[in-house]
Amino acid sequence: METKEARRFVLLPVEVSEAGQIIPLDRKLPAHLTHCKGIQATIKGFLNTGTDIQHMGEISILINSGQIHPLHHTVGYSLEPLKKRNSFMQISEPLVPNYRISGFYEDAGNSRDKKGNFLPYTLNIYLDCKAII
Amino acid sequence: MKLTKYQIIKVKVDAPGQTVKFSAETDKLYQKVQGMYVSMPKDESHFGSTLELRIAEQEVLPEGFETKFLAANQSSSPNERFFLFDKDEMIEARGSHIEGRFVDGGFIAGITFPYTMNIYLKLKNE
Repeated sequence: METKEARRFVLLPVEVSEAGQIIPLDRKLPAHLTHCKGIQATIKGFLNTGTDIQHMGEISILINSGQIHPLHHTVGYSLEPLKKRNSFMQISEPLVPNYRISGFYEDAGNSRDKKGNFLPYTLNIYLDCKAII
Repeated sequence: MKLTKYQIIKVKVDAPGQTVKFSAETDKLYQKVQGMYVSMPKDESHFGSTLELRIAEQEVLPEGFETKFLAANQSSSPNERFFLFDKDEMIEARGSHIEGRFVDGGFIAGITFPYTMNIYLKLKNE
């Protein structure tokens, strides 16, 4: 049977419900993924914060069961949904079949409305991958 | 034969949070889909909105993929706004069936319903 490569996005949603929450990430990636070429972590939807927030939390992502650590950075939030380009951070890492993606997200407690109430949110982690189909 | 065509798919959204399924076909006279761009009347409609897309029975965008990655603000030139596929990535046009599922993000402040989302497909002959 003929096989070919195609792009596959992997989307890993993380629900943040409390200020200061630390959420471990540990997921097996589909075995047909061969290569990870981009990564992005972004907050989904609108939050009535009244201002942009540079530091919503901190994310750390490891792939290939901890062997590769492509991302450890802050996650921000903008009241403008569109930028000049909402692009992915480019990486180039082969993926080992059946290995895991792991890491954590730590909320910084800054997702608040003008009254200081915490605003729950969803963080979407995207992987831009190549897959054998 | 022309080398490039921009094919527009229009999707009407009647209410906040609505899920709209749609289907279409790519132009038969073009070989591949090179890129795409999603336009909505207000940038804020991109808040939480997602687009799942299959072309030629292949997954192009998974469920939950945010439309904000398929657009750019007005400071970008028109050609820069396109989400381009890789050069070695073959998404066949030639009359391929397109299946889509758009979910409005539910943001309502300043948004007038119904609105029309335009999906621009950049089709190419090589």
